[in-house]
Amino acid sequence: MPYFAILLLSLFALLLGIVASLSMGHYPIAATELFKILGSVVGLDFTVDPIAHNIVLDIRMPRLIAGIIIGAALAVSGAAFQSIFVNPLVSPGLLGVLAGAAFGAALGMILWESWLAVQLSTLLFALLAVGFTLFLAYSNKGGSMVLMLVIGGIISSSLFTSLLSVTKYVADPYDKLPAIVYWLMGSLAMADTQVYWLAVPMLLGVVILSSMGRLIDIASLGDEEARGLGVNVARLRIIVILAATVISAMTVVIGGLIGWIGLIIPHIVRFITGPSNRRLLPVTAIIGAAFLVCADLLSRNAMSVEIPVGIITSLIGVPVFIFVLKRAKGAW
Amino acid sequence: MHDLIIQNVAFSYGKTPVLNNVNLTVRPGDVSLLGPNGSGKSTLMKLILGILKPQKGSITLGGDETSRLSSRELAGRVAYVPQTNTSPFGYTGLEMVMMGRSVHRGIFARYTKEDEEIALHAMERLGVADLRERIFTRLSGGQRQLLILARAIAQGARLLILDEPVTGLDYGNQLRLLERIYELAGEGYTFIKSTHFPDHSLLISGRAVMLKDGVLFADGGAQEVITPENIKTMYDVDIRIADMEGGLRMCVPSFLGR
Repeated sequence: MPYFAILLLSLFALLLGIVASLSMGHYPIAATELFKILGSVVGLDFTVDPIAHNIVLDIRMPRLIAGIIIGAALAVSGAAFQSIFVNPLVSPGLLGVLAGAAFGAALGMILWESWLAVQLSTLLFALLAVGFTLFLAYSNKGGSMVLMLVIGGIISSSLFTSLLSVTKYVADPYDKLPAIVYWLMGSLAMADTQVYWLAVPMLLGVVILSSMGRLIDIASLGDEEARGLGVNVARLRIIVILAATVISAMTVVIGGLIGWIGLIIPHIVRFITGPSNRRLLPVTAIIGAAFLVCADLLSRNAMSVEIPVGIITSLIGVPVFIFVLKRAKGAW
Repeated sequence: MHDLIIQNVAFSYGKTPVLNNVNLTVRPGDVSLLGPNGSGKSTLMKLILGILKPQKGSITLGGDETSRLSSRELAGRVAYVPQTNTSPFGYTGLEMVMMGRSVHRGIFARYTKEDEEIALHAMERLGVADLRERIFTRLSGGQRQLLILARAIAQGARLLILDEPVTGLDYGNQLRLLERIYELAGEGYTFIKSTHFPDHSLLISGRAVMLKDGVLFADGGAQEVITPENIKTMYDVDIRIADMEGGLRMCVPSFLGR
């Protein structure tokens, strides 16, 4: 299928998800009403139901934007990481960003009441965890840098996972502990209109990563071969790690730990576009967004109470991944 | 003006010296780099490619010191054909060759129609145009090596560094690859290739360079320097050189006794 058609189809899938997620819910809103509401936002003169207006713009829209941006950020980070670490089984959490963010969030919830403080703590510890990984890798030079980064990531991840256990252990079991546990399951329920401010830098990160596919392809051949092709892999790797770390950390700030997207979406999209990151990265970002929007739709509507979306993505992710492993046969 | 000049180059990993006072001037043609494992062949090639920096001495290419050139500038002049490709991602043959064009494009730029034409032309030149849609990781070693050679041509470099190019190939593919190298060397390309086959040097190389323990101890026409004495020095085995019809020569191991 030509690349242009793939792009259009995936955008169409995302659009369907967007319309469905704005109109479906415990308070169903008809498509015609929805378009009137959206029309009134851009200044057209429609009379709209004020309750529907509030639900769409203040509740469902922030949540939708959160879903789009988190899905795109995790999927594109995962795809870029799989290539620059020359390993198709890598996910965005490889260097410890998610473990650090989870600990930061839990610590923030114990120490402060302010939600902003919790978010800052999440971001800070996510960056610290990856910084620790980079420090471990770059202070033990000699041998393969990819290997050192992976080992550094394992060490950093387990350090911050242990610290997370400590915070859970000391947290007030009636009030704080359930909040932490629920947060770690991953959910878009907390997204409010301030998500728009986070969406801007995240979108920028997604666009930057998506447009570097040509160089990321070359980095996926390994350091020496890439060097022979004129790519300074050390520098490219730092740019990709920085961009992916910042946007992955922000996904935790908005929605907690939402697993599997960064691993499975790139693999599914490879079946459609082939492995070249020039096509893979943009399509992965769009499909990742569409996937999380639909998973969130399911999490809101499948049962009378909301199921955390992280549970949905894992439940879908496991069988899909088994299928992908069967299909791969030596060429990803 | 495309000459590669290596002067007084020394390199060591930590305290272990790997190369000692290496001097070499390379002009267009095919040069074989011979030497036992651990003699410094790979290190010398990595130095030329700019993957490693010489700790002493200088390497200049067409008058420019290679350590002063950016990775992109250097890759426009020197291409690398590695021994094995370990990438798990199944790019197509054409995608693989196109990567050679990347060096001519900016960070966020895309390949152009011209890049695709140059890549396809290089594939035709090496007789692998039919592999354009095939998955690289599923091809035979010989087909992969020819595609990587096509990529080096598409890259626009005139100096090609080949790391044991025939290792692991079946006999037919070895000869097909040597034939392409021989043709391209005749057209003005420069090849520096490490090899464990002195016979291949005698077949197609104008020149052989010999390394032992980081010292370049013999350098000259392949027929002049591939001698029983030099082979003995490098590999500690006894051979004699057999003269064949048509002026060809071949190494024959002495244990055969004839």
